[in-house]
This record gives sequence, C-alpha cells and structure tokens, in this order.
Amino acid sequence: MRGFWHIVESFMAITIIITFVMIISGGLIKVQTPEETEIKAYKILKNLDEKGVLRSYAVNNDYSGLNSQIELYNYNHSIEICQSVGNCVGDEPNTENVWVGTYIISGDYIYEPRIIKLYLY
Amino acid sequence: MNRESLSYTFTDISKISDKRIKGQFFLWGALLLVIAFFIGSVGLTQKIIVTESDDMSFYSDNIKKEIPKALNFGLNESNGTSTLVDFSRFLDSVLAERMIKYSSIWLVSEKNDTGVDITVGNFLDKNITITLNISTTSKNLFVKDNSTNKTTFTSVNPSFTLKIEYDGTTKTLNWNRDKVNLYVRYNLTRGKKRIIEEITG
Repeated sequence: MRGFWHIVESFMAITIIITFVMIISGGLIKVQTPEETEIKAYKILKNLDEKGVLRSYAVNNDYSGLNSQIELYNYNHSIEICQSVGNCVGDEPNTENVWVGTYIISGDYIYEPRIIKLYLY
Repeated sequence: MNRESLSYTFTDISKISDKRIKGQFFLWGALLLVIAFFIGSVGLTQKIIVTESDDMSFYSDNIKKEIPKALNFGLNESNGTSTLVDFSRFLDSVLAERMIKYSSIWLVSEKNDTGVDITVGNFLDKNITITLNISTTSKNLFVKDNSTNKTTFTSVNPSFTLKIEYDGTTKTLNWNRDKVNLYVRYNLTRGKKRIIEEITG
C-alpha cells in the first residue's frame, strides 16, 4: 500500500514539474496543425498579391521567380502554377508532410485565371 | 565490534539498498504514468483540431475579391458575362479539388439603348425560374443549370430598384442604369460546414 502512495506522490511531483516547464517555455512547444500551415501559405500568397508581386509571375507561369519572392525560414517551399486543374507547371515536392496553400486569381491586366499553390514542407 | 553487531550492520545496509531499488521502481512507474497522461491529452487535442478546419473562409475571401475582377477583365475585353461564366466553372473545378462544393447565381446589368439588359448566370446545380421586377414590370426568366439567360427592361430610371426572387430567396438591389452592376450569391459547402456570401457592386 505504501508503494502505491509513493507512485501517486511521484506522479504529482513529475506532473507539477512538467507543467511548470511547459508554462515557462510557452509557445516553444506549440505545434502547428496542417490547417494552420495551409492558412499560413495562403496568407503568404495573399500578401504577395497585395504587394503587387504575385500576378505578373503567375500569368507568366514563372514559378521559380515567384518562389524566389517568398521569404520563409522555417520551411522549405516551392510553387506550382496551374491554368486549370491538372494543367500545372512548377515543383510539387515528392516528400512527406507537405502543406499546400492555394490562391486563385482571375488574371493580371487581362483575363488569365490561375491557381497558385505554395507548398511548405 | 563483535561478530553479531557486524552481521546486524550488513543486514541493515542490505535493507536500505532494497528500499532504494523499490524507490526507483516507484519513480519509473510514476514517470510512465505521466508520459501516458501527456500522450493521451495530446492525442485528444489533435483530434479536436483536425475537425476544426477554417480554410473555407480564406477561399471565400479570395473568391469575393476575384469575381468582380473577372467581370472587369471580361468587360475590358468585350466578353463581359462570358468571362464570368468561364470563371464560375473555373472556381467550381478548383474548389472541388479541395473538397469544397461551389455553387453560385449571379446577375449583371448593362445599359442598352432603351434601358438595361439583365443577364442571369445559374450555377446552382439545378434549373431555376427567377422573377425580376423593376418598378411595375415583372418578368419570369427560366435559366438552365450551368448556363445564362438574358432579358431586357425598357424605360428604366437612372437609379432603379431591382427585386429578384428565386427558389425561396428574395433580394432587393439598388442599381444605376448607366453603369455595369453585379450581384453574386455563392455557397461554399464542405460536409456540414457552409459559407454563404454575397457580392454587390
């Protein structure tokens, strides 16, 4: 019976210590979900559009040029540009744990719809 | 120190050593329990997050901005509503790839010599009859799914009110005769989640 109480005491002690460490370290332990990463990718593309950078690269299918405009240090990234579903140019990474953000444009100065996919991995 | 007392000391040391070993077992047992506890709690949290997907609202934000642009490009290239038809089908295919069902209805008014032309685009996945009412003139327009239909209203005031009714939905729009006007209502659906948005301009 004494052994049982030793386990309970140790359990509580370790839980308190780990909880304390987690509170102190805060956001360091936070893991991004797939949805958060995809939304992050979307926001990067949207931000490039708002800066007036995205569309000219997209309508010219210049995926490497567009990729070079992205400043992101936590992830590897690549761009794919599609004129329609399945009709794409660019680099689709062949690895596990790839998150993709999709941004749609109707054109730049003329009607030329494109799907821009930003892969983060 | 005699032989008896020496023997007692060895027994005592042995008991203390046993207690330390038992203590280590308790510690390891507690550590395993804590690890199991945290793995369990992380697993539960992940399950909750996976069901909470909010990417649809970002697509909606994207679409809301692009549809009027598509119409403007079309008007600049004298294609007008044809461009909007193409873009509606484009959005349908792109969003289907993301497991999102896109359906929409849109109306475009353009000035003509005697009044306004009103074009209705139906991408609601079913045929509809839409009632269009300007002032005292009311018209029923049948629009097949995935296509457009057009009607003309004559003697329209520079500022006019268009009332529309279709499939149990009604909407009143205050438009200007001398400019191109756009109204779009679209649904994004994925499973139980649904976003309904309107664009006027």
